[in-house]
Amino acid sequence: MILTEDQLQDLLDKALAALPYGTEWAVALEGSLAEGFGNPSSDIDFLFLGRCEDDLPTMPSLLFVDGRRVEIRTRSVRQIADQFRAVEEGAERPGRLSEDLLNRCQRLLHSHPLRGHALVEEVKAMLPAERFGRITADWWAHRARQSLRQAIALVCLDESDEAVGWTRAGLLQTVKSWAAARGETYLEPKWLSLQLDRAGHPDVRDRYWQLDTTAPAPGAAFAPGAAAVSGSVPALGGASASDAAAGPGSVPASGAAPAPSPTPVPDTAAPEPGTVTAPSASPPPGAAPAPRSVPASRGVPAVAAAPAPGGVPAAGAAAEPDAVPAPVPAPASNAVAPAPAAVPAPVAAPASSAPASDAVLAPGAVTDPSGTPAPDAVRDHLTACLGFAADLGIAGVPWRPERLIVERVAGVTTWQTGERVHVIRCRRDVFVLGDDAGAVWRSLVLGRPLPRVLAQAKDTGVADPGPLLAAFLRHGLIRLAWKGGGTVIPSLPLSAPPGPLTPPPSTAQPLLSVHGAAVSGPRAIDLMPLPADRFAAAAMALVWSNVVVENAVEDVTGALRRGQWRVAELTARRAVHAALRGLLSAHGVHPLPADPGLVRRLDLLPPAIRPIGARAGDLLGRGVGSAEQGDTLLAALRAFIGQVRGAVGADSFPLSFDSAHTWRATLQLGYDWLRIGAHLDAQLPIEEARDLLAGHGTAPRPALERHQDP
Amino acid sequence: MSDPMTVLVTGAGGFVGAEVTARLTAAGHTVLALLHHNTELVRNNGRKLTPGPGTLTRITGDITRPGLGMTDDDRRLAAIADRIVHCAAVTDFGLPDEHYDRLNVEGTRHVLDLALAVRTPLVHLSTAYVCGERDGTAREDELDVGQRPGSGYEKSKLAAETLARTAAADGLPVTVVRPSIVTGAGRTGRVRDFKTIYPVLRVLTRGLVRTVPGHYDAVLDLVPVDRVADLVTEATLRARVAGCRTLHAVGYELTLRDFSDVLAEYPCFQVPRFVPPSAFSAQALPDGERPYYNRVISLYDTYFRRRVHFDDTRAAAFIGRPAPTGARPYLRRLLDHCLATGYLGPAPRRLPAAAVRPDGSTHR
Repeated sequence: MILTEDQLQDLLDKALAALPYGTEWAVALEGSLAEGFGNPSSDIDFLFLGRCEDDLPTMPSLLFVDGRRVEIRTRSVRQIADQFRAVEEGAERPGRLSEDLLNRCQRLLHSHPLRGHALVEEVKAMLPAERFGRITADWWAHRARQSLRQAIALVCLDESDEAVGWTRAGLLQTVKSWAAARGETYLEPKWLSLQLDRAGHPDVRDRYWQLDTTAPAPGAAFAPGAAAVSGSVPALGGASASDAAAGPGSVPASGAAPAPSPTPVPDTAAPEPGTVTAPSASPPPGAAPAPRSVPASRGVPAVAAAPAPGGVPAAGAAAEPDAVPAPVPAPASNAVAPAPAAVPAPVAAPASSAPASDAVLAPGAVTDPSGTPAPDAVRDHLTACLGFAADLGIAGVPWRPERLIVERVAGVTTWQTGERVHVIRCRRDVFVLGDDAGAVWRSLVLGRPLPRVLAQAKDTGVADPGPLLAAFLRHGLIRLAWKGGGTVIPSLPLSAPPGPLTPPPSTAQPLLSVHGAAVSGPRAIDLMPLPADRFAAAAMALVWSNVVVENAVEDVTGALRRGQWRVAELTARRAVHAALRGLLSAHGVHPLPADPGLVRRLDLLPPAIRPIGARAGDLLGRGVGSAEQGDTLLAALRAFIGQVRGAVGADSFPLSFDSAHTWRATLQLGYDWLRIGAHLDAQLPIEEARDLLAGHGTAPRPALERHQDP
Repeated sequence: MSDPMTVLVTGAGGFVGAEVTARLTAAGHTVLALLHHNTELVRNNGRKLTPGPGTLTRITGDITRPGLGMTDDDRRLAAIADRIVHCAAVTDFGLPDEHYDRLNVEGTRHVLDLALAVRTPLVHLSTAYVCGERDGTAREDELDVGQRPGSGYEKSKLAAETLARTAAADGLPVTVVRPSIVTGAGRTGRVRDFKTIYPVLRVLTRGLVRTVPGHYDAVLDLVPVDRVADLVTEATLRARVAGCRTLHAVGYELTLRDFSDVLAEYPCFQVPRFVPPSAFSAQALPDGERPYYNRVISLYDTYFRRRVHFDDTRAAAFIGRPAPTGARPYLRRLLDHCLATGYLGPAPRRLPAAAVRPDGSTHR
């Protein structure tokens, strides 16, 4: 341990002096120091065990003693017994066993007694070390299976970046499981390198690091702002160069001192096209030729501009014949590249804090022109990790994508209005799908293996359906299950499972048309900023306002013909209000303000709408005293409606109700929305709508006879 | 176990008949299977019926003919039957009245004549939908309450059941079993024949007709074929107890709203919109939809209008099991089975050869 026994006892005395007098405690040192890890900035974690029945507070007390941070936690023997029992019970359901509980028990079981040794030993005996090691190993193994299964799925779906992230997570969880079975139960991945060094199987340790460091890079090679290196060959330091040159199975040299280095080099640094050599070109001396199936060593650029002194590795190690000439790697960079959000951050931790085994990682060594890792490299790396897991005794993760079943998620329903597809999640969140995304969604027959689902999605003719399916998965609209293994719920080491993604809501305005929600592109999976019930209600209000507008205009026409000036005035106002209601509904305003407030509430809408508000105000104030005035008003009204139509997109209001055809089309859309609203028990203008909709199967004209002024 | 009986089953090759036959022979009874064509008897799970321990004797016959068109030998055999189960009928919709008359009405008359000759207890398979076009509760003891039949099929079954009632009044022990819409097995959703409501589901979920006249609160009662067969078999074996009763073999009540919500759970299914019948016009349907509407959906219109509940107190008491609950999960099982067999689901797309890349992938 970093501190001596005397130092610890001394610290303990000082800590005790700071605490209230009178309690009888056994004390142990827990945590990284007790494990034999730690460094000068590690906390001192004392655990005070009390032989009592009370529930002692879980919050630690914090002291600063001798320039070190001291945390004091207390626990009663009864609490400990409860926790151990919970761990035993949770052992059968590792997915449910909380990491915090496991962690607390682990720290206690590996703690270093300082006072009251007998009590400490008595407490530890309540959960034998071997049993706990087995439980922890199973717990990690479960997580490794989830991560690796997730990686298999993402490889199938062409989500290479994320696949790599989950592969590395699964790899870490695999080796943690193996280590735990050997007594290295300390949970925090930070000290993994020391744990592996101690575990006594250098072959396993070395294989782990080799796999971890040869993970294909995410597309960081093309990150903007990276330091540019002109087309010259990198001056790789000798040791690191040879490391980089090495093929599979080699150990990244320990002590390859990394200088912190900016993001590796962008495309602009690539050597001139003329110097591209095919992978089959004779490898330079010292570089191992890499057969295609080998996970590409990250240290190797695909192409060398010129043979360089010092045995700079060249094309030989490139796995992909069509790989872009790799950007020249910055030398000796600790190139766990600044990952895109998808790559789990904690996985980077071991590399950064393990001084002994930094590898020269040159991202971009094997990338395709789009900047993502080449799919074959990703799959090969994953297969290697799966093999490693199997070797370490973790069953249940063969490379068998057909064991991944795409399953239904409860509470997800599909509602089509016209040609637009909406998917509602948990009866609350509304996603609107672009045409391509909708076509792929509609091709889904759930309960089938992933490869078959993907093939069916490809049959739709939509290009690259894989990432769309992956997006559906991320959003929790579908889920994956492993045949015989339950739902795949991956979680990063010591994190909770992420849960369904909820993207920022769509900012499209107007939000709605009678044909469905607005969508940002063919592959869009946009989240509506309205909860489902108000979404359906707003759309129904929009359809309904359509109907009322047209009816009201008919009424105005009829009234004018009969010289009913007052009636014409009133019905004209009705038409204006209905059009405004439609305008507000199309922007997602629901519930609607009462009629008197409609014009003023236009200030809720984008500024471009202002002129419409002015015109509406003008129309609402107009009187009709003669046929000419009436005709002028009618013309202005029609123009105004045209303007509203323009503001919300021409197809928000049907062009005309002259034909039974367009009327029926609107009706049908009305029923589409009614169906959604009924499903969601939304507030719909059903009673009003039903009469008119039920009575007017073919044309709005009969409304004239039935219409009553409010 | 009771003494083995000999049971004459008409329509033994049919959807319900085959299951009844299987149960009777499994219980050790002898079945005389009256078959119009020399059909294989296939069970609901698609497998050939292997009778046993009771025996199965095939008899060629034709219910549209007096004496059921049997040979003299067969007629002698039938005369000693302990029971007659009359399953034979035509259940397809949209046929000419004359067809229904011949098979469902006259056919029943001939079977009744046979039964009356020797006073053989008879189990007669009717339909719950003899209730006709009405809302509210339909009771087991109601027959003709002045209702209007929803279709030529229902009309014929009403007439047939009336004949059976008359025969009962003449002293023939007759038990009437009235199934609602017979669909797949309760536990698995498996079904042998994709008939009655199945073509409707196919047309609707494929989006071939997208607008349907109906009320969201209309009720369809779906009964698993195994429950029907259980009830018919019980009624046959316990005829003394069953007496002259009418039993509703009914199952899960599903509103059109239930259908709509469950279909919406399947991404590959289109969900039809139901519009009030008064607002619906077949003429107004798009040209592509109208033929499907006319040929398939319109035949089922009547079911989308009715809000009828079938009281099954007697049937539940007789068989000792109430009608099952869990309507939506049952519908899901039916749909899942249809998807698994490919009956429902996206129509397979045939791509032109040029659109398929050498590695098998396709592009637009």
